[in-house]
Amino acid sequence: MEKQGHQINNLIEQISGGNLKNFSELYETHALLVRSVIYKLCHPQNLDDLVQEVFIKIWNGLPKFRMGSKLKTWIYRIAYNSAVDALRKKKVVFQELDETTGKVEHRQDWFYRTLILKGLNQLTEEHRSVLVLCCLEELTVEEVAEIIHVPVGTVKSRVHHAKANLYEILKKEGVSL
Amino acid sequence: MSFDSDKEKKLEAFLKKNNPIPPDAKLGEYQRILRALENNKSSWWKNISEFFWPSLKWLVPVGTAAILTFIFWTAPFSKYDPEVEQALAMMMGPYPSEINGDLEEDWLSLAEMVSQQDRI
Repeated sequence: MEKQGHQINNLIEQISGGNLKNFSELYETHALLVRSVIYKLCHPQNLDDLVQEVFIKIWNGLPKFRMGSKLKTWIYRIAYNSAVDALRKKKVVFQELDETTGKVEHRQDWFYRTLILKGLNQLTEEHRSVLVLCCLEELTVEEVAEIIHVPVGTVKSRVHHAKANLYEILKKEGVSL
Repeated sequence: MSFDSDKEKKLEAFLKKNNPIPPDAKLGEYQRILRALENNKSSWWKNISEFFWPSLKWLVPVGTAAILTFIFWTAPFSKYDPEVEQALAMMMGPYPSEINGDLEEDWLSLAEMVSQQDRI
């Protein structure tokens, strides 16, 4: 754990010094994470642009990154803030859900994934955020609280309500859970 | 309708099993990011400290006030400035008090001459 922290420290130092080679390492490790969280939070047509925006923010923000928080949590926070900003500024054009979206092996899988995305879109921004981060990205309640800057208790309460709402939405769509 | 722990567990399992997967990145995404970073670097205003722009909020009014104070302080508006006094005097001619003063002096000298003649 300590060794990993030291490695991350070195990586950050080298990237802060303008080392683009090391930045590619950071990109490869975290690109899917960033892509995934933005996709689930706002499901945009311009997903690639938003991912690019997040990595530029990461590059610019790394010299100011404090080792007090985990790198992963920090990157999640940037991705979350970018997605929420894009939603609020209406920079997001929702992508029509079709069968070519995502890696889909089975038609049923595609159907259920589509329903989940539709369900998430029907939730409020607050509920969607905690549900995506806690249940789909599998972060701890403490990590989510740090990312979205709310108390742990609030996150727990929002998760509960978000789950209840999504359960009802899915039920209305005919999903038997 | 209550949302109990049984339903919660079922929903969690459903979400875990059908977790949406984002579409693959287009080829060369990292290269595009690098190009964007290079463009970002070449724009000097984007490299200015983040503290500079908020500081403009107070820098502009304080700077303006300082400049105006300097102008008023150094400009020859004061009535005690001898040059201003001289210029005003030239422009406006003698003050009424000075005219009265001259008349008073004339009367005094005339009175003195009369009194001298009387003595003679």
